[in-house]
Amino acid sequence: MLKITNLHASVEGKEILKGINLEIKAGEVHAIMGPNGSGKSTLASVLAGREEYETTKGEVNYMGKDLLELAAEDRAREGVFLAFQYPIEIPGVSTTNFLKTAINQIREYRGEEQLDAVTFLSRMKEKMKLVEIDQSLLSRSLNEGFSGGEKKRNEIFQMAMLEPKLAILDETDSGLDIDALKIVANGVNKLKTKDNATIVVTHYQRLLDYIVPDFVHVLYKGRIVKSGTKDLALELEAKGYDWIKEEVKETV
Amino acid sequence: MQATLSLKEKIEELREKIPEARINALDELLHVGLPARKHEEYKYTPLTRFYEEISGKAGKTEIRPDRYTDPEFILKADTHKLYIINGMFDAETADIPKGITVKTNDTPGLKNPKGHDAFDLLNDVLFTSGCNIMVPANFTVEKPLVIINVIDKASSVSESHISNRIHMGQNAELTIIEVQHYIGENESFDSSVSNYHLEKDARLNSYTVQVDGNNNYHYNSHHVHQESGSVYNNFTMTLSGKMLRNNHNVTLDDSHCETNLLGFYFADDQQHIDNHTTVDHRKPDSNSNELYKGILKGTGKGVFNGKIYVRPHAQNTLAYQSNKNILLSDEATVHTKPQLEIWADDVKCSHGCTAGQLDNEALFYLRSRGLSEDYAKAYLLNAFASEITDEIKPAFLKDYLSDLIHHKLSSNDR
Amino acid sequence: MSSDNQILEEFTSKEYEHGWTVDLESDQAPKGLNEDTVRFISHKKNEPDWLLQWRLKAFRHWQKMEEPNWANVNYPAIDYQDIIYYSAPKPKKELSSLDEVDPELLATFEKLGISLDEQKRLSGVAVDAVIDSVSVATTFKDTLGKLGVIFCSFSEAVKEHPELIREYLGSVVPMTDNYFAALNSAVFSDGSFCYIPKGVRCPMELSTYFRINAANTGQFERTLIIAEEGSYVSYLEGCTAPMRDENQLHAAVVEIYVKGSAEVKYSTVQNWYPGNKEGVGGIYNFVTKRAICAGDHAKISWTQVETGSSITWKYPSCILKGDYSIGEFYSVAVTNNMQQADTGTKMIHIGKHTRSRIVSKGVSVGRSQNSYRGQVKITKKADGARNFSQCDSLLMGSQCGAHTFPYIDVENKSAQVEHEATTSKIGEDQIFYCTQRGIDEESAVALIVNGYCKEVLNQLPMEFAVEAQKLLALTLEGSVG
Repeated sequence: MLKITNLHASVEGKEILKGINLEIKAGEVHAIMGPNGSGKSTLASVLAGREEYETTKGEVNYMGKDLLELAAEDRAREGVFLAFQYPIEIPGVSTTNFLKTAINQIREYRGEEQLDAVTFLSRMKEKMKLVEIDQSLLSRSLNEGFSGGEKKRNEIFQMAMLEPKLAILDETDSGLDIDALKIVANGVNKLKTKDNATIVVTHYQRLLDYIVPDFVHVLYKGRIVKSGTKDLALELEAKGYDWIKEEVKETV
Repeated sequence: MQATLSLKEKIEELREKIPEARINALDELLHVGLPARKHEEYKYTPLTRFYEEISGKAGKTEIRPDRYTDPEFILKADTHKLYIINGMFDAETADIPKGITVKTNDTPGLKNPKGHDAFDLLNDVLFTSGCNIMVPANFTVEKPLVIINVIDKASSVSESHISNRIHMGQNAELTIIEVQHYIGENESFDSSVSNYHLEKDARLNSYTVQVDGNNNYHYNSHHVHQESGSVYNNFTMTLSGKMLRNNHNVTLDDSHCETNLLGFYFADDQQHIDNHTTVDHRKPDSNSNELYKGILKGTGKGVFNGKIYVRPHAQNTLAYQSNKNILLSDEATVHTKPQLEIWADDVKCSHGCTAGQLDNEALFYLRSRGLSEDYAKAYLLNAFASEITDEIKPAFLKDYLSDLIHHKLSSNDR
Repeated sequence: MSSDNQILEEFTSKEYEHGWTVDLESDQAPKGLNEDTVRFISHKKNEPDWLLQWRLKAFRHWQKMEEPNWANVNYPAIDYQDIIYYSAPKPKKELSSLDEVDPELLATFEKLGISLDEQKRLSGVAVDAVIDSVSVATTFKDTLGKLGVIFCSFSEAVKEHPELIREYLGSVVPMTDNYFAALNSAVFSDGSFCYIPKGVRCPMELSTYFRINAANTGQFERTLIIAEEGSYVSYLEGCTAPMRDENQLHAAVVEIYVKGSAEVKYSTVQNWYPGNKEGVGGIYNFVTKRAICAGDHAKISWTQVETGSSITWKYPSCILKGDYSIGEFYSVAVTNNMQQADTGTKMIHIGKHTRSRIVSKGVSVGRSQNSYRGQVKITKKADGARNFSQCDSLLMGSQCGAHTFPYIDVENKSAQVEHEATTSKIGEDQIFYCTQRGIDEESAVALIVNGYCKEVLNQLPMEFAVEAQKLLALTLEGSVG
């Protein structure tokens, strides 16, 4: 589904990603871990098409297409979804209205008919249960005055509505208490099928107790320095990141 | 015979008497005239009318330092002092801090008089003296420098015009306290124009203290020019006077400048206080902050006009402005016009203003805790003022002004 | 380059949608303005002598006045002798039903999206349509008539209800009020009249559509609304004009007289031709709108969405005379390309415990200049008056300007006046968030701007709100994206 080859990216002239290689197949869950400043969020942003990031080298093939050539909205329309670490507030625009606009533009791109109001609402009702989100929250301005947990749940709710092929969760666990974390993880798990894939970007192992990854990659100084299974995450949890740093030093 | 001449004729007469450098200002003044009643910038403040009344009536200026003692609050303060008496800088008594130069200012201030306030032009034509202060690069003046502008109107009506300059070298630092000091009960009109220039990284803390005088009409104008990294702080404290007009114009002409303007005014019966400020952001990445608070009592009148300009390309500007007023009587009035003009899109600017009475909720809260109504009111008013006075750095000045405000607020009825 | 700048540059200009002209034969006054012009108009309309005298008085006063120059707008001097002051679509005959309306004219309104026929009846909006200053059709008269509601063209009201016109004409906006109001008083050709009797809640929205069609004409319509005690009406006004290279003058007057416990809601979606990208052509929109809350507990609410006109000079005002009366002003003003808008309101508090609220949202795009100018005056006797003002500006691009000129005059100690203003831009993060969800940049901007204006748009009646939202998106096209 997604093949990243030797990806380099920089922001304001400073290179953050220094050659990422990663392959993700449909049905898989990949966790990307790493200490602060290792480039995790940058990778998520580059995949989603944030313009401040300049890709200087490398390729990203997404379902046969050159992902880097696509505009951010076209990536979304092709099924890439980013759950933001810091969801933005848009005053005066309700989540409902926002999603309706998004879904219809995506459908238009795909040559599908506009979703009628009834179908839209019934789909909303169904997905709301998934993340235990309240109707009243959805009629309020997007993310405005939402608590940290509400924002993150709203992200997963949007993910449920948009049914992406590739979902990237950028530190979705940050700022969540254990109950909210369970709700969010539960939502993500329910959305998992054999046809879609998930990238979970996180600093802590905690989230991975609930969203069990098939693969774990450790990002450090802009490179994936270690890959493994869930056990790697547990090892990181137990030992911290220092030993990885040591290992990298030795190999350099 | 003088009195029969129109102001215009009087000014025209000066053409032969003043130095060449002032002719531009004179021509411009004749061209624009002093602001008439409908003038947008003066529509609440008929300063022209009073100037015309007083002008020409003034007796011959007599310098009587013997009649003069310092206002008490500076008498004991550990400061350097400069005196300007009836329009003349007194170089002999000047206590000049070591390391800086202070000379008599005789340079007209306006290179290009176009667009200036007409009273600036008038000052440029008529000013007699003032001081010219130069602080060299990397030099910090430890003690505050006080400039006392003495207007002796004990024996006759007085008119005076002074002009001061301060040039701050790179990374220099100075605290200046300008004090208006009036002697006697006669009417007076005086203007004071100050030009400050702050080179890179210089820091100037200035205090404008207008706490005495009655029957006086005062025009005060500051033009501040800031280079990169410089910090300018001003406090304008107006607690006395018949009609005062303060123009405070700050140009942030480079990046990373910081400007903080704070003001407090209190107008009681027959008093009229007008503060006009302009903060002009011309380059990116500078910050300005402005807070003016006023209390109007009796027939007191307050006018506030704050302009913030953010010029094209002055991106990343942060500019805040706030004006808050409390009216204590039915005859008191306030006219406030906070004005934003923005030509750059990536900026954060906001302004706000309020006018009203004391918060009844707060008043009730205090009373329910056992404070008398009068005490509770005074308490809240002092709290209102302290947001400004708390920021004053020199302790003697802060104490004096806080006490004075406290005294004025708790004297007699409301 | 930041994504914002790209967005701004990528957007291509969308031509003004209503910029067609219709070949309607019209009956015109000769160019120019003098007493004869005034007499000509009055004669054409078979007016009573008192009204002619009133017009002449206004004209004589106007001649002595000077065009105001305090607004933050620049335009070449208007040659008042180069304007046609009266232009009526021909044939002008009494119409008893819509079937008799010129089909060309009906087609005009179809294009405007206003059908004067059954469709509109179903949606329950009574429409008065004014083309080139003359009212051509008013719908729903009978239904309204049963309730005693009068809704007709101004000319008709002069004939049918002279006593009301005589009593209220100029009672809120005196003929001498200002330069443009005086001009209007002299040469106004038609407009709408509306009277809501005591205690009647008007069951439908009343709506006037204004259209300037003929070339070189000025449009000077006059609207008068009288709400008797305890009545209610919601009134809508929409306008369009063809694309023309020369500027056209529109100097309207709206007067609203609201008696005790009555409420009038006046909504405008102003979409006059704004001129082209380079600022050629467009309407000069110099409008005087004022309402008086004459009785206690009266309420007036102005809502405006201003997207058109090359120059807008407009300050719908509220005189809050009755105790406990309420004035509201909700405004969205969007300027693009070379447009200039200087708009806002006046809230004059005279009665005790009067309240007012101002919400102004300015959006500046392209090389436009957008100014809010407003006055809040609390007079000596207005005990317990309250005002809250919120004025926000949104700038898109680095060549436009946003200006805020609030005047706050307080003469009563018990007043509570609060004014807040902010300036901001659309965050790149906000746009990215939208695009990440599959929304293109242009729609993202429209969505965000609509959200920013929500508080105002919410005040509009439902179907107007939809129209306004579309209009906002249209105006923003060619500017952002």
